[in-house]
Amino acid sequence: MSKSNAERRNLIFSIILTFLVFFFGIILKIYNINLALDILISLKRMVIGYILAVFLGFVTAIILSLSKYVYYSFKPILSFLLSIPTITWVPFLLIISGISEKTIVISIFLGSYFAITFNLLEGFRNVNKDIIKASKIMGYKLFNLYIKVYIPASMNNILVGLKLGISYSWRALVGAEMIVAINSGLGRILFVSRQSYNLKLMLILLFFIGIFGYILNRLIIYFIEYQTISKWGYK
Amino acid sequence: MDSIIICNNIIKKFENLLIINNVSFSVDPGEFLVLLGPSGCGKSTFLNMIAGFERPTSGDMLVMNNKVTKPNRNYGFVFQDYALFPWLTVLGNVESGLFNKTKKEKKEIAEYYVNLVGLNEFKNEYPYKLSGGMKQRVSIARALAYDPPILLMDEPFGALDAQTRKVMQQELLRILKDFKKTIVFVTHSVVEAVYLASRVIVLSKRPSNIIYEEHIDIEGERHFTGDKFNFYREKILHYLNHETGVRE
Repeated sequence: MSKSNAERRNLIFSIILTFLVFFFGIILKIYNINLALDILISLKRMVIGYILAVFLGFVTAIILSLSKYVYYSFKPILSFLLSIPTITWVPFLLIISGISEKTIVISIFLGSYFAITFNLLEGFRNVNKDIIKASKIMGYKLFNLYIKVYIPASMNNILVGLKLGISYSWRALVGAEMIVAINSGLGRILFVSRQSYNLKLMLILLFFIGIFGYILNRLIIYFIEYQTISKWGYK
Repeated sequence: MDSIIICNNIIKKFENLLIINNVSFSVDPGEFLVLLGPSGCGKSTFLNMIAGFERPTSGDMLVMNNKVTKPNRNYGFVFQDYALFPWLTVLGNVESGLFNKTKKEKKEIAEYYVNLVGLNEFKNEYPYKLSGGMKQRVSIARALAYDPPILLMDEPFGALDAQTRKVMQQELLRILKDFKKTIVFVTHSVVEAVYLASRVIVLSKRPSNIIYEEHIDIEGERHFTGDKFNFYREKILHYLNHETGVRE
């Protein structure tokens, strides 16, 4: 299959971004700022929180979509929780689990979990009824029905959920790191650089946070999207 | 010969709206039954009840001497909007109803049916690249592949243009020629009904019951302009027009 224009544009954009990161890496080297460790630590927290959110998001969405009554009773609660800004959980979490990795990971989790669950749930609810009928008549039951029908059929919504999840959890990560004072992580460095009036470092960090959020979104989604919905001709 | 589908005094209500009012009929194995009726008379609801997606409010629905409770693999279902799985290729779609077989067996069976419906060139394409007629061919192949005794077709050619529709009607007869399937086919088109059916049942408008039943008895190939063809067409149209209020 030949690549479409959109795919080509995306590829070029990703390449340019990668070069930009290298470019900034060189600038950092010149100014002798070492960020590699902080980036890695932030990424590690992010990955743990995000994977947790994706996993539990799938479980919750599947359970809530099993029955109409469960769906209608839990959806308002979900919408309510979705509209609480993640950063407002942090003071609460600080008291519950203290100044620790756990607090950061939990706020990342909370940041993305509701958005992911919400979108998966909408996706499962909106699967074409005839497709469900066709698979039921062919004998697809619960587990098979979800793995082989609901999930591929609602791939559009799943991807929206995963993308939103990544950007929300990235925001939550940086926010939580600024408040929860552990010695490492991008957010922490940003906060510390204020105390030393290091404007240069602040701007570089801002740029990095933006770029990384974007790249995470792109890279992770890139592979899933082109293996699934582009291939299947979804809109 | 025992009937394969028996409907006894079927009544169906949606909340307080009476849709189907006391309909009884039975279908013999190998029969091609066409249900005709005005829009909204519950033809599709009837198919859904046979397939087990819905329950009759009262009355008995027996398929192969068992009461219908939930959808099962006795049926192949062909939808108006194809209902193909867009995430599978043509072959994948045809394989999707096959369980408990090795990969090789599945592929062989699927290839046989894809070939039968004349889509060999497209077997590795995804459905979005196919035209409406081709999609419906895949859908028919998928329904036949796991070899159900009964085929339920809900206005399968309703979304196709007039030319493709005629081609597909001929193709359907060609494809089904070598199988002993019992078919219940829902349509709006009288011509389609006379062309395909061995028996036609005309339903009244809501609340529906049977107003007319006709065995189509034409020797050999059916031609859209044949004398007997026209005779049946006029006769059925007469009853249908009376129901829908179309002036003759």
